[in-house]
Amino acid sequence: MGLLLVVLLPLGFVVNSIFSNFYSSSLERNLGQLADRLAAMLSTGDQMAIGMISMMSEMNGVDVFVFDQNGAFLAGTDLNQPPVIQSLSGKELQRLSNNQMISKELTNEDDEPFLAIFRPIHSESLSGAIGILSPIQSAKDAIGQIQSLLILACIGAIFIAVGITYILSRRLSQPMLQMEDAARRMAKGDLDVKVEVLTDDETGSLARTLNELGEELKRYRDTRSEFFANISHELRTPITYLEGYSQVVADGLIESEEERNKYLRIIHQEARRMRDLVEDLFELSKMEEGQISVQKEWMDLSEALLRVIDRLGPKAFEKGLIIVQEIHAENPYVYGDGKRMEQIFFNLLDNAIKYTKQGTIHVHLYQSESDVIVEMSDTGVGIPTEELPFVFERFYRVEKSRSREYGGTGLGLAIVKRLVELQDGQIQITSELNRGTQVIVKFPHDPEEVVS
Amino acid sequence: MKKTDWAIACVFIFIGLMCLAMSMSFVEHSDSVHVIMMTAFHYCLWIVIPLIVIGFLYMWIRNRKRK
Repeated sequence: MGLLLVVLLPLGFVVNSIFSNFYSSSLERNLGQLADRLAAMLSTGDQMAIGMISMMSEMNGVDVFVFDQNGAFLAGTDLNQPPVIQSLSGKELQRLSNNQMISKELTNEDDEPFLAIFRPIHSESLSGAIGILSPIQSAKDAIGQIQSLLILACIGAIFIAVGITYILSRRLSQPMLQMEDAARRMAKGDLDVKVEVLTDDETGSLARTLNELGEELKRYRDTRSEFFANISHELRTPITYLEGYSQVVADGLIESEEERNKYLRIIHQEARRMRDLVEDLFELSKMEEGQISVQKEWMDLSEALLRVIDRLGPKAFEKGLIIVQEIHAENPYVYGDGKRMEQIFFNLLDNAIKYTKQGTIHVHLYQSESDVIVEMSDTGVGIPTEELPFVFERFYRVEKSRSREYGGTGLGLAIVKRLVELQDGQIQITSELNRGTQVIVKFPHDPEEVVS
Repeated sequence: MKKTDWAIACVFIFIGLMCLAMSMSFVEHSDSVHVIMMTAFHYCLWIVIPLIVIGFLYMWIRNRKRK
């Protein structure tokens, strides 16, 4: 709107100036030409020239006056006009005597405007000046009318501009207002709000991003709520066991030594479970504060893998599972933290054992040109395809029920992914429901690449 | 946009168009409603035709981008 006014107002001023100046300069030019002709006629000294002048002034609708070099009135068409030569200033008279033409506006006794042109005459018969007066009231009226119509047209243009600007501003601001409202509602906790995406431009992109943010926050909130519910359940359950069985032991309500040992084993198991949970929570808090540290050095990845297989072999054997290991790497050295590598493989292999009821777990270590690759494949329950993108998120669990058979807190894979990335590696998971899951972990082994 | 918003915008635009039409008609020394409306129609063509051309250009460019 402001821009339009900045353009319209100067334009209106220029158009107004063009109209008014065009008319006055055109009249001035015509009168000047007439003055030249009349001056030339008077210069001849012909007595008939006076009559001719009267006729020409009548034809052109102007009044003509002739003055001598002293300013005395010699002849004129309207003797009732005041001596107009007296309206000239000293400077203008000087210019006349220097053979320059003078043009100025005058008013008579009745305040009627006139355009006066003075032309010097220098001849043998006459030395003085000729003045031509042309009434310009009608011209001024016409110019005034045109100015009024221009103003009306400008006002019309401003109204049209206001209308169009109003439409555009509403249409532009409406999506922004809608997004502002959605953001405000999200801040208050309503994460189900959606913004309508109407266009493919930046505004549409912002709306889509806001919707995705809402979905992410909702998923984060839901999984976090689930996490806290799981944590409280996971803590409450072992505490209940600890409380119950320790009470039984303390009260001496045991019938045999075997039963006593069994209860003590259960107490120990639950205490370990609680300890694992607390350790996971501690790892999580360090991750959120960016304080997880890795002590990198050149290490043999196959050794870390084999140690983990040794530790978890009995657990797999207990379930009737077979772990098949294949180590095919001539140079399995990578730049990483041995302890953290074991943590990664322990977590992955433990998951494979946990979620496989029967069959085999393949652990394959090999190398490519640039990486050392560890593949773990199982014949377990698998992960639904729609849940695969989320398995590395914190608190996310595919198995939602609180079955003690699976356990877990939803933090294991999030920690694994973070540890892999801290050691410049990559991890990916593929899976098919009820067929099994395959995890591939890669670490670069080129010392020049890693050092640089 | 609500109907009231559209109504307000249309009123402004209509007033503007009438002001333009009247200023053009008075130059022709006519205050006949018929002349004013015909004048308005003529210069509305000067607005609508470029808008149509721009609209076609915009849709053509958009379709090319999508392809």
